[in-house]
Amino acid sequence: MSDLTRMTAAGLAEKIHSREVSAVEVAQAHLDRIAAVDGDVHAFLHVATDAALASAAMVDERIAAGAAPASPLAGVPLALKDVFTTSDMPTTAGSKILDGWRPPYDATVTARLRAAGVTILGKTNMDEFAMGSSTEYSAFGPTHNPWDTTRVPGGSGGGSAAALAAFEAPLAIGTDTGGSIRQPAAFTGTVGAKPTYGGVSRYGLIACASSLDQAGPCARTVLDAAMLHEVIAGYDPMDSTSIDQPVPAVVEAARHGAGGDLSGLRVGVVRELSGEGYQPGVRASYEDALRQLEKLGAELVEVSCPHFEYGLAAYYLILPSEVSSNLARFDAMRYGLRVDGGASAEEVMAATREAGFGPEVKRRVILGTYALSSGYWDAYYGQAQKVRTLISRDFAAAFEQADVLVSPTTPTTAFPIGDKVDDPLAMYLNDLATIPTNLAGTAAMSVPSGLADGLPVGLQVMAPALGEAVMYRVAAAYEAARNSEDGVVIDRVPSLEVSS
Amino acid sequence: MTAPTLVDYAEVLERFDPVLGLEVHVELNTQTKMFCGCPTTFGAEPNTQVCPVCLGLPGALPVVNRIGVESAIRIGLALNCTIAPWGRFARKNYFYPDMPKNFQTSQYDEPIATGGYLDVPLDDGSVFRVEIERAHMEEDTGKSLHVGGATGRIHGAEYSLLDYNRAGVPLIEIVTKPVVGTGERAPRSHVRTSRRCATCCAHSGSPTCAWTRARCAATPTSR
Repeated sequence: MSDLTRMTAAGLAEKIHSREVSAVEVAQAHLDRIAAVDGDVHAFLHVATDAALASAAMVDERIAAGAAPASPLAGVPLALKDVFTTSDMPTTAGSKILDGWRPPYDATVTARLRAAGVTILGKTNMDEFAMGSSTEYSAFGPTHNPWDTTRVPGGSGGGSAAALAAFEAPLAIGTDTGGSIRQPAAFTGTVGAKPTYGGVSRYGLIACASSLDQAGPCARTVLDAAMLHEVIAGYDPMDSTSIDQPVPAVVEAARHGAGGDLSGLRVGVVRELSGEGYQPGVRASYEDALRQLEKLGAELVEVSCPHFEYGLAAYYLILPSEVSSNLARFDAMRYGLRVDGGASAEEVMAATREAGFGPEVKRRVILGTYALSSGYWDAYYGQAQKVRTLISRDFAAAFEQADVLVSPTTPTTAFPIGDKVDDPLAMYLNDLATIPTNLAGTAAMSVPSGLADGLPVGLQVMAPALGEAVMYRVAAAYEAARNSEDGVVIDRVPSLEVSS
Repeated sequence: MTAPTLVDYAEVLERFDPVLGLEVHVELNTQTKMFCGCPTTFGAEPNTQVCPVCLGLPGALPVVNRIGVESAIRIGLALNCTIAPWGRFARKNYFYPDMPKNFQTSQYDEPIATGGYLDVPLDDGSVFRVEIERAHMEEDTGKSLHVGGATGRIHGAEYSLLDYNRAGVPLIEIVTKPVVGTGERAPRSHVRTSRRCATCCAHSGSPTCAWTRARCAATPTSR
């Protein structure tokens, strides 16, 4: 493994911008790494070798000409979740129904990465239309967790998280509808942040559930995630739900936090998210994290969010309802798969959707169509929206007592491939602790909190809407303390080179 | 089963009081579509006035047309309606090939204008007041051309052509309350009402609002 692939994004940027190493060399090192290990990991659905090298060469030219780099991350490679449209690469959202589709436009996130000079290495694997918690529901085969390739990397953004943990890329983009950034981060010993709803543009993000979806940064360190956060975040006139306010200064907050002083800060321990049902190793890791936060000077406050227990039920009405409407457009009339299963338009639509959607997508489309059907809207979607309001109030009350809230990101560590694929309810329980944040539209991130039985565990840090600065500050402080006490978690990931 | 007998018009009016509800669709003459920047020029080559948004491509998002909303407010005021201080759009979900997203973005339970009236002058010099239930904003669908069938409808057609130039063109739908008491003047008064609606829109003072094509659907019942 080349040293370049072991480096942080911040470290790589410094070397590239000072011309110690070229962006092309950095891109090539990562492409070589992908070629060596992705057969075992399957993080990528598409590798854009030529485009990546061409983009890196442009960064090198600009720096050689004496111009300032386009952004603090210019020339740093990145893995993009295959749910963002890219005009020069296929975009599938992990579904057979979009196999081979080449969008005519770039998502705003894609455009911002390009404008920042970030090298897009390719598109990463995901559960179909971002529905799933293991990446096993991808139509193109599962992604394997680099910590143990018989296990899942989490989902839906398992490809992005696995690419980081396998040192195929130092940065990645994910999307988080109910935990799809944070749960894979926890399962792979990496960092992933779900910004405030509206913090990052959704234009060109293929919708799962529009009122819950949010794009965010993934990285191996809190500072790298913060740097990527600032590149992709901010108002976009193409997304009416994007927030027209300055992006929180998260890089500054992460640097400040790494100094390790949290005195005066109140950390809320959510009673409902730290109790039963958690794997003993996860609980132990969490208790250790609380101890470390206290050592950093934070005041621990117990808070109660009594309506969180209804979050999962509300989520599984709201999400399928929105999915059933959002996925109606896949009808073979304009793009994507077309199965000529009959003479009429209706028959072609039905045959295409039958062949093009996987079982989990069908399950949720049927559930959502039922919940929205005439006479049921009020009882299902309407009621679930009320629960959502109660959860927002729980957060509001908790944030009066504490600056941030914490919990374990997931109840367990990464589970074996095949373990839960036939048991949807067991799969859904993975997102118990992450879903309330999506329902409330607030911010949260997962940061590595050590290992349990040899597998990574994540600590979730939750902040109020637009409270990303304090969130990154706490995560960076905890990361620094944990690393100095026990070593860097990701350094203990097994090397995959032998098996490739 | 006995064959139904057609009742004479005069006898119908004697036995029943016609009650009609009108839905008038007015196409706004804005320069761009309701949720994207595509031009709305009528009669352009098929599928030349389209973009990711009005084609409903994966990932695309709508941004509402400010002039469209202003026009809707002006029309609401011209119809003596109350203008909602706050509004939102809803999705009307159904599958049809000329609808790019397979849902129409429309207003449902929170229309922009409610509770107005329209005074309609009739041929005999009297003025008939039609109560307005609501006026709301929505987007038009694309157009289907069904080729090879006897009826021009989708059923029985050999193939269909789709033109999405019209998809996303702003529409205002004006819905009247049930109109009663017109008696024998019912057909005439309803034509007048829909024309009056359209004229009213044209004169609502909006810089771009002129009705190009108005479509009217009547729901007749009787009591």
